[in-house]
Amino acid sequence: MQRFIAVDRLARPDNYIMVSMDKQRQARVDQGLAPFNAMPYEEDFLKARLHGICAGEVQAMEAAGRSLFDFPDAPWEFQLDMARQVWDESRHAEIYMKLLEYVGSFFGEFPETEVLWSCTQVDDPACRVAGINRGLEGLACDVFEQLIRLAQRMGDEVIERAVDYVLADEITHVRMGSKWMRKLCEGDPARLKRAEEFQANIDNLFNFGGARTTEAETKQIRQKLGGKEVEFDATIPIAKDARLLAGFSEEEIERLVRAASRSAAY
Amino acid sequence: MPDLGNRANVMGPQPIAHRAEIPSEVIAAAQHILDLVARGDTAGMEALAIDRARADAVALAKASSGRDINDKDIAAIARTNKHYWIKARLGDASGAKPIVFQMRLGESDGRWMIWEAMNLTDTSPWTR
Repeated sequence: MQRFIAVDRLARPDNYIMVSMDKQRQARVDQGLAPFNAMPYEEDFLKARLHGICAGEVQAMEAAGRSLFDFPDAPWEFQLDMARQVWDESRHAEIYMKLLEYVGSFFGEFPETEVLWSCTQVDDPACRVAGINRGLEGLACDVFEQLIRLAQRMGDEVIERAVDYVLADEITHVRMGSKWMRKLCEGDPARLKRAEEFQANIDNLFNFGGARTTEAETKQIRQKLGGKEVEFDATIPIAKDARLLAGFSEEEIERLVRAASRSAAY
Repeated sequence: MPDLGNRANVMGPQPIAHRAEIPSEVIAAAQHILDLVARGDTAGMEALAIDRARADAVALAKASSGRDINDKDIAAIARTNKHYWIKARLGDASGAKPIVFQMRLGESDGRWMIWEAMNLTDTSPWTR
Protein backbone atom coordinates (compact mmCIF):
# COMPACT_ATOMS: atom_id res chain seq x y z
CA MET A 1 0.00 0.00 0.00
CA GLN A 2 1.34 3.42 -0.94
CA ARG A 3 2.53 5.82 1.74
CA PHE A 4 1.83 9.58 1.72
CA ILE A 5 -1.15 9.38 -0.59
CA ALA A 6 -1.61 12.52 -2.69
CA VAL A 7 -4.74 14.68 -2.54
CA ASP A 8 -6.12 13.45 -5.83
CA ARG A 9 -5.53 9.77 -5.08
CA LEU A 10 -8.05 9.60 -2.25
CA ALA A 11 -10.41 6.82 -3.26
CA ARG A 12 -14.13 7.23 -3.35
CA PRO A 13 -16.94 5.09 -4.83
CA ASP A 14 -17.86 5.85 -8.44
CA ASN A 15 -21.33 7.04 -7.43
CA TYR A 16 -19.82 9.93 -5.55
CA ILE A 17 -19.29 13.56 -6.48
CA MET A 18 -16.00 15.18 -5.57
CA VAL A 19 -15.35 18.83 -6.40
CA SER A 20 -12.29 20.94 -5.66
CA MET A 21 -12.82 23.73 -3.13
CA ASP A 22 -12.10 26.31 -5.85
CA LYS A 23 -14.91 24.96 -8.02
CA GLN A 24 -17.24 24.72 -5.04
CA ARG A 25 -16.65 28.39 -4.30
CA GLN A 26 -17.13 29.33 -7.95
CA ALA A 27 -20.45 27.48 -7.99
CA ARG A 28 -21.61 29.60 -5.06
CA VAL A 29 -20.34 32.86 -6.56
CA ASP A 30 -22.09 32.02 -9.86
CA GLN A 31 -25.36 31.89 -7.91
CA GLY A 32 -24.78 35.26 -6.27
CA LEU A 33 -23.77 33.75 -2.92
CA ALA A 34 -20.73 34.35 -0.72
CA PRO A 35 -17.85 31.98 -1.65
CA PHE A 36 -18.33 29.97 1.54
CA ASN A 37 -21.42 29.41 3.67
CA ALA A 38 -20.02 30.04 7.13
CA MET A 39 -22.84 32.42 8.02
CA PRO A 40 -25.32 34.09 7.61
CA TYR A 41 -28.30 31.86 7.28
CA GLU A 42 -29.07 30.26 3.95
CA GLU A 43 -31.87 27.88 3.13
CA ASP A 44 -29.57 24.86 3.18
CA PHE A 45 -27.16 26.10 5.83
CA LEU A 46 -27.77 23.37 8.41
CA LYS A 47 -27.80 20.55 5.85
CA ALA A 48 -24.68 21.81 4.08
CA ARG A 49 -22.81 22.47 7.34
CA LEU A 50 -23.57 19.01 8.73
CA HIS A 51 -22.69 17.45 5.37
CA GLY A 52 -19.33 19.23 5.30
CA ILE A 53 -18.62 18.06 8.82
CA CYS A 54 -19.59 14.47 7.93
CA ALA A 55 -17.20 14.47 4.98
CA GLY A 56 -14.60 15.95 7.31
CA GLU A 57 -15.05 13.12 9.79
CA VAL A 58 -14.55 10.54 7.04
CA GLN A 59 -11.40 12.34 5.93
CA ALA A 60 -10.22 12.66 9.54
CA MET A 61 -10.66 8.90 9.93
CA GLU A 62 -8.58 8.36 6.81
CA ALA A 63 -6.02 10.93 7.94
CA ALA A 64 -5.52 9.29 11.34
CA GLY A 65 -5.20 5.92 9.65
CA ARG A 66 -2.66 7.43 7.27
CA SER A 67 -0.69 8.94 10.16
CA LEU A 68 -0.55 5.44 11.64
CA PHE A 69 0.56 3.82 8.37
CA ASP A 70 2.82 6.55 6.99
CA PHE A 71 5.15 6.65 9.99
CA PRO A 72 6.11 3.07 10.93
CA ASP A 73 9.11 4.31 12.94
CA ALA A 74 7.04 6.61 15.17
CA PRO A 75 6.73 5.61 18.85
CA TRP A 76 4.31 2.79 19.62
CA GLU A 77 2.22 5.08 21.83
CA PHE A 78 1.84 7.52 18.91
CA GLN A 79 0.55 4.71 16.74
CA LEU A 80 -1.85 3.65 19.46
CA ASP A 81 -3.21 7.19 19.75
CA MET A 82 -3.70 7.35 15.97
CA ALA A 83 -5.48 3.99 15.98
CA ARG A 84 -7.73 5.22 18.75
CA GLN A 85 -8.50 8.34 16.69
CA VAL A 86 -9.48 6.20 13.67
CA TRP A 87 -12.00 4.47 15.92
CA ASP A 88 -13.32 7.78 17.26
CA GLU A 89 -13.63 9.38 13.81
CA SER A 90 -15.48 6.40 12.35
CA ARG A 91 -17.99 6.77 15.17
CA HIS A 92 -18.26 10.49 14.43
CA ALA A 93 -18.90 9.79 10.76
CA GLU A 94 -21.76 7.48 11.74
CA ILE A 95 -23.21 10.09 14.09
CA TYR A 96 -23.13 12.79 11.44
CA MET A 97 -24.63 10.46 8.84
CA LYS A 98 -27.55 9.95 11.22
CA LEU A 99 -27.76 13.70 11.90
CA LEU A 100 -27.93 14.28 8.14
CA GLU A 101 -30.96 12.01 7.91
CA TYR A 102 -32.43 13.85 10.89
CA VAL A 103 -32.23 17.23 9.10
CA GLY A 104 -33.62 15.84 5.84
CA SER A 105 -30.34 15.28 4.02
CA PHE A 106 -28.06 12.33 3.25
CA PHE A 107 -24.36 11.73 2.72
CA GLY A 108 -23.73 12.56 -0.93
CA GLU A 109 -26.38 15.26 -1.31
CA PHE A 110 -23.58 17.83 -1.60
CA PRO A 111 -20.15 17.38 -3.17
CA GLU A 112 -17.11 16.53 -1.08
CA THR A 113 -14.11 18.84 -1.34
CA GLU A 114 -10.43 18.12 -0.93
CA VAL A 115 -9.50 21.00 1.32
CA LEU A 116 -9.24 18.95 4.52
CA TRP A 117 -7.25 16.12 2.95
CA SER A 118 -4.90 18.66 1.42
CA CYS A 119 -3.92 19.58 4.99
CA THR A 120 -2.40 16.11 5.46
CA GLN A 121 0.23 16.58 2.77
CA VAL A 122 3.40 16.55 4.87
CA ASP A 123 5.98 13.86 5.57
CA ASP A 124 6.85 14.65 9.20
CA PRO A 125 4.59 13.17 11.91
CA ALA A 126 5.11 16.23 14.11
CA CYS A 127 3.82 18.50 11.29
CA ARG A 128 1.06 16.02 10.52
CA VAL A 129 -0.42 16.15 14.04
CA ALA A 130 0.21 19.89 14.28
CA GLY A 131 -1.83 20.44 11.14
CA ILE A 132 -4.56 17.87 11.59
CA ASN A 133 -4.96 17.46 15.33
CA ARG A 134 -4.21 21.03 16.41
CA GLY A 135 -5.19 22.90 13.24
CA LEU A 136 -8.17 21.07 11.80
CA GLU A 137 -9.48 19.53 15.02
CA GLY A 138 -9.02 22.87 16.73
CA LEU A 139 -11.27 24.32 14.01
CA ALA A 140 -13.67 21.43 14.67
CA CYS A 141 -13.87 22.56 18.31
CA ASP A 142 -14.87 26.03 17.08
CA VAL A 143 -17.45 24.70 14.62
CA PHE A 144 -18.98 22.20 17.04
CA GLU A 145 -19.16 24.63 19.93
CA GLN A 146 -21.10 26.98 17.67
CA LEU A 147 -23.35 24.16 16.44
CA ILE A 148 -24.23 23.29 20.04
CA ARG A 149 -25.21 26.90 20.76
CA LEU A 150 -27.14 27.04 17.51
CA ALA A 151 -29.04 23.86 18.44
CA GLN A 152 -29.78 25.31 21.86
CA ARG A 153 -31.26 28.42 20.22
CA MET A 154 -33.36 26.19 17.97
CA GLY A 155 -34.48 24.11 20.98
CA ASP A 156 -33.11 20.97 19.32
CA GLU A 157 -31.68 18.54 21.88
CA VAL A 158 -30.87 15.87 19.28
CA ILE A 159 -28.31 18.01 17.48
CA GLU A 160 -27.11 19.61 20.72
CA ARG A 161 -26.35 16.33 22.46
CA ALA A 162 -24.95 14.49 19.44
CA VAL A 163 -22.49 17.29 18.68
CA ASP A 164 -21.54 17.70 22.34
CA TYR A 165 -20.68 13.99 22.41
CA VAL A 166 -18.43 14.40 19.37
CA LEU A 167 -16.85 17.61 20.73
CA ALA A 168 -15.63 15.72 23.80
CA ASP A 169 -13.61 13.42 21.53
CA GLU A 170 -12.28 16.30 19.43
CA ILE A 171 -10.87 17.94 22.55
CA THR A 172 -9.02 14.69 23.22
CA HIS A 173 -7.70 14.61 19.66
CA VAL A 174 -6.36 18.14 19.95
CA ARG A 175 -4.66 17.19 23.23
CA MET A 176 -3.09 14.19 21.50
CA GLY A 177 -1.81 16.52 18.79
CA SER A 178 -0.36 18.95 21.32
CA LYS A 179 1.31 16.09 23.19
CA TRP A 180 2.91 14.47 20.17
CA MET A 181 3.93 17.68 18.45
CA ARG A 182 5.90 18.66 21.56
CA LYS A 183 7.23 15.16 22.30
CA LEU A 184 8.41 14.47 18.74
CA CYS A 185 10.11 17.86 18.60
CA GLU A 186 11.90 17.56 21.95
CA GLY A 187 15.42 18.93 21.61
CA ASP A 188 14.76 20.05 18.02
CA PRO A 189 13.53 23.66 17.98
CA ALA A 190 13.82 23.86 14.17
CA ARG A 191 11.44 20.91 13.81
CA LEU A 192 9.03 22.47 16.32
CA LYS A 193 9.12 25.75 14.38
CA ARG A 194 8.29 23.91 11.13
CA ALA A 195 5.40 22.12 12.82
CA GLU A 196 4.03 25.37 14.25
CA GLU A 197 4.33 27.08 10.87
CA PHE A 198 2.51 24.19 9.19
CA GLN A 199 -0.28 24.53 11.74
CA ALA A 200 -0.38 28.33 11.25
CA ASN A 201 -0.84 27.86 7.49
CA ILE A 202 -3.83 25.63 8.12
CA ASP A 203 -5.27 28.03 10.70
CA ASN A 204 -4.99 30.82 8.10
CA LEU A 205 -6.78 28.70 5.51
CA PHE A 206 -9.90 28.75 7.66
CA ASN A 207 -10.03 32.39 8.64
CA PHE A 208 -12.97 33.16 6.35
CA GLY A 209 -11.62 36.42 5.05
CA GLY A 210 -10.19 37.64 8.33
CA ALA A 211 -13.48 37.98 10.18
CA ARG A 212 -13.03 35.41 12.94
CA THR A 213 -12.58 36.37 16.58
CA THR A 214 -13.73 35.20 20.06
CA GLU A 215 -17.37 34.41 20.79
CA ALA A 216 -17.72 37.54 22.92
CA GLU A 217 -16.57 39.79 20.06
CA THR A 218 -18.24 38.04 17.14
CA LYS A 219 -20.73 40.25 15.33
CA GLN A 220 -24.34 39.09 15.71
CA ILE A 221 -26.82 39.34 12.88
CA ARG A 222 -30.50 38.60 12.60
CA GLN A 223 -31.24 35.30 10.92
CA LYS A 224 -33.80 32.54 10.74
CA LEU A 225 -32.97 29.40 12.68
CA GLY A 226 -35.37 26.51 13.14
CA GLY A 227 -38.34 28.64 12.14
CA LYS A 228 -37.45 31.42 14.61
CA GLU A 229 -35.80 34.80 14.02
CA VAL A 230 -32.77 35.08 16.30
CA GLU A 231 -29.60 37.09 16.66
CA PHE A 232 -26.67 34.77 15.98
CA ASP A 233 -23.00 34.74 15.01
CA ALA A 234 -22.09 36.29 11.69
CA THR A 235 -19.12 33.92 11.41
CA ILE A 236 -17.51 31.02 13.31
CA PRO A 237 -16.00 32.25 16.58
CA ILE A 238 -12.83 30.80 18.04
CA ALA A 239 -13.95 28.58 20.93
CA LYS A 240 -11.57 29.74 23.63
CA ASP A 241 -12.86 27.48 26.44
CA ALA A 242 -12.84 24.33 24.31
CA ARG A 243 -9.34 25.13 23.03
CA LEU A 244 -8.06 25.71 26.58
CA LEU A 245 -9.47 22.30 27.56
CA ALA A 246 -7.74 20.87 24.53
CA GLY A 247 -4.33 22.07 25.67
CA PHE A 248 -3.92 25.34 23.77
CA SER A 249 -2.22 27.98 25.89
CA GLU A 250 -3.72 31.45 26.40
CA GLU A 251 -0.84 32.83 24.35
CA GLU A 252 -1.52 30.43 21.46
CA ILE A 253 -5.20 31.34 21.44
CA GLU A 254 -4.40 35.04 21.51
CA ARG A 255 -2.01 34.56 18.58
CA LEU A 256 -4.71 32.68 16.71
CA VAL A 257 -7.27 35.42 17.35
CA ARG A 258 -4.84 38.09 16.13
CA ALA A 259 -4.00 36.14 12.99
CA ALA A 260 -7.65 35.26 12.34
CA SER A 261 -8.82 38.83 12.59
CA ARG A 262 -6.40 40.16 10.00
CA SER A 263 -5.84 37.33 7.53
CA ALA A 264 -7.62 37.52 4.20
CA ALA A 265 -6.09 34.27 2.98
CA TYR A 266 -9.49 32.74 2.36
CA MET B 1 -37.74 19.08 21.17
CA PRO B 2 -39.65 18.86 17.87
CA ASP B 3 -43.10 17.33 17.95
CA LEU B 4 -42.51 13.78 16.75
CA GLY B 5 -46.20 12.90 16.55
CA ASN B 6 -47.39 9.42 17.42
CA ARG B 7 -44.29 7.60 18.52
CA ALA B 8 -45.97 4.40 19.61
CA ASN B 9 -44.47 2.42 16.75
CA VAL B 10 -41.18 4.18 15.97
CA MET B 11 -37.77 4.30 17.61
CA GLY B 12 -35.57 7.34 17.92
CA PRO B 13 -35.87 10.91 16.64
CA GLN B 14 -37.60 11.36 13.28
CA PRO B 15 -36.47 13.82 10.57
CA ILE B 16 -37.23 17.47 11.20
CA ALA B 17 -37.13 18.35 7.49
CA HIS B 18 -37.68 16.77 4.12
CA ARG B 19 -35.12 15.80 1.53
CA ALA B 20 -34.76 18.26 -1.34
CA GLU B 21 -35.95 16.79 -4.64
CA ILE B 22 -33.82 17.03 -7.74
CA PRO B 23 -35.93 18.87 -10.32
CA SER B 24 -37.04 16.60 -13.15
CA GLU B 25 -35.82 19.26 -15.60
CA VAL B 26 -32.26 18.71 -14.30
CA ILE B 27 -32.44 14.98 -14.96
CA ALA B 28 -33.93 15.60 -18.39
CA ALA B 29 -31.19 18.13 -19.21
CA ALA B 30 -28.51 15.71 -18.01
CA GLN B 31 -29.92 12.86 -20.12
CA HIS B 32 -30.02 15.13 -23.15
CA ILE B 33 -26.37 16.09 -22.58
CA LEU B 34 -25.38 12.43 -22.29
CA ASP B 35 -27.03 11.86 -25.67
CA LEU B 36 -25.13 14.81 -27.17
CA VAL B 37 -21.78 13.59 -25.85
CA ALA B 38 -22.50 10.01 -26.91
CA ARG B 39 -23.06 11.03 -30.54
CA GLY B 40 -20.27 13.62 -30.55
CA ASP B 41 -22.60 16.57 -31.10
CA THR B 42 -20.20 19.48 -30.61
CA ALA B 43 -22.69 22.09 -31.86
CA GLY B 44 -25.32 20.85 -29.43
CA MET B 45 -22.88 20.99 -26.53
CA GLU B 46 -21.69 24.45 -27.55
CA ALA B 47 -25.28 25.74 -27.54
CA LEU B 48 -25.90 24.40 -24.04
CA ALA B 49 -22.77 25.81 -22.39
CA ILE B 50 -22.19 29.26 -20.94
CA ASP B 51 -19.30 31.21 -22.47
CA ARG B 52 -16.49 30.11 -20.22
CA ALA B 53 -17.56 26.43 -20.28
CA ARG B 54 -17.90 26.17 -24.06
CA ALA B 55 -14.43 24.89 -24.85
CA ASP B 56 -14.63 22.16 -22.20
CA ALA B 57 -18.15 21.16 -23.28
CA VAL B 58 -17.06 20.82 -26.92
CA ALA B 59 -13.99 18.82 -25.87
CA LEU B 60 -16.29 16.40 -24.05
CA ALA B 61 -18.33 15.83 -27.18
CA LYS B 62 -15.11 15.10 -29.08
CA ALA B 63 -14.07 12.53 -26.46
CA SER B 64 -16.54 9.98 -27.86
CA SER B 65 -15.21 10.34 -31.39
CA GLY B 66 -14.78 6.96 -33.09
CA ARG B 67 -16.72 5.11 -30.39
CA ASP B 68 -20.14 3.51 -30.69
CA ILE B 69 -21.56 4.46 -27.30
CA ASN B 70 -24.32 2.09 -26.23
CA ASP B 71 -24.32 2.58 -22.49
CA LYS B 72 -25.14 5.94 -20.90
CA ASP B 73 -25.35 6.19 -17.16
CA ILE B 74 -25.79 9.02 -14.66
CA ALA B 75 -23.49 7.77 -11.91
CA ALA B 76 -24.09 10.49 -9.29
CA ILE B 77 -25.80 13.81 -8.64
CA ALA B 78 -24.96 16.33 -5.93
CA ARG B 79 -25.78 19.99 -5.52
CA THR B 80 -24.31 23.26 -4.42
CA ASN B 81 -27.43 25.28 -3.59
CA LYS B 82 -29.39 25.28 -6.87
CA HIS B 83 -26.60 24.15 -9.19
CA TYR B 84 -26.27 20.44 -9.80
CA TRP B 85 -23.13 18.39 -10.29
CA ILE B 86 -23.68 15.37 -12.52
CA LYS B 87 -21.18 12.57 -12.94
CA ALA B 88 -21.83 10.42 -15.99
CA ARG B 89 -20.35 7.37 -17.62
CA LEU B 90 -20.49 6.41 -21.29
CA GLY B 91 -19.42 2.99 -22.46
CA ASP B 92 -19.39 0.88 -25.57
CA ALA B 93 -19.23 -2.82 -26.38
CA SER B 94 -15.52 -2.80 -27.20
CA GLY B 95 -14.41 -3.15 -23.59
CA ALA B 96 -12.48 0.13 -23.77
CA LYS B 97 -12.35 2.31 -20.67
CA PRO B 98 -15.66 4.16 -20.28
CA ILE B 99 -15.70 7.92 -20.70
CA VAL B 100 -16.35 9.48 -17.30
CA PHE B 101 -17.18 13.14 -17.01
CA GLN B 102 -18.59 15.57 -14.53
CA MET B 103 -20.51 18.76 -15.22
CA ARG B 104 -22.32 21.48 -13.33
CA LEU B 105 -25.78 22.43 -14.50
CA GLY B 106 -27.47 25.64 -13.48
CA GLU B 107 -30.40 27.71 -14.69
CA SER B 108 -29.70 30.65 -16.95
CA ASP B 109 -32.61 32.59 -18.48
CA GLY B 110 -34.95 29.68 -17.89
CA ARG B 111 -32.68 27.04 -19.44
CA TRP B 112 -30.51 24.46 -17.75
CA MET B 113 -27.03 25.23 -19.00
CA ILE B 114 -23.56 23.75 -18.53
CA TRP B 115 -21.52 26.00 -16.24
CA GLU B 116 -18.58 23.61 -15.97
CA ALA B 117 -17.50 20.40 -17.66
CA MET B 118 -14.62 18.10 -16.80
CA ASN B 119 -13.43 14.89 -18.42
CA LEU B 120 -12.59 12.57 -15.53
CA THR B 121 -11.69 9.52 -17.62
CA ASP B 122 -8.02 9.60 -16.66
CA THR B 123 -8.01 11.98 -13.72
CA SER B 124 -9.59 12.79 -10.37
CA PRO B 125 -11.76 15.90 -9.92
CA TRP B 126 -9.30 16.89 -7.23
CA THR B 127 -6.29 16.87 -9.55
CA ARG B 128 -4.79 20.33 -9.80
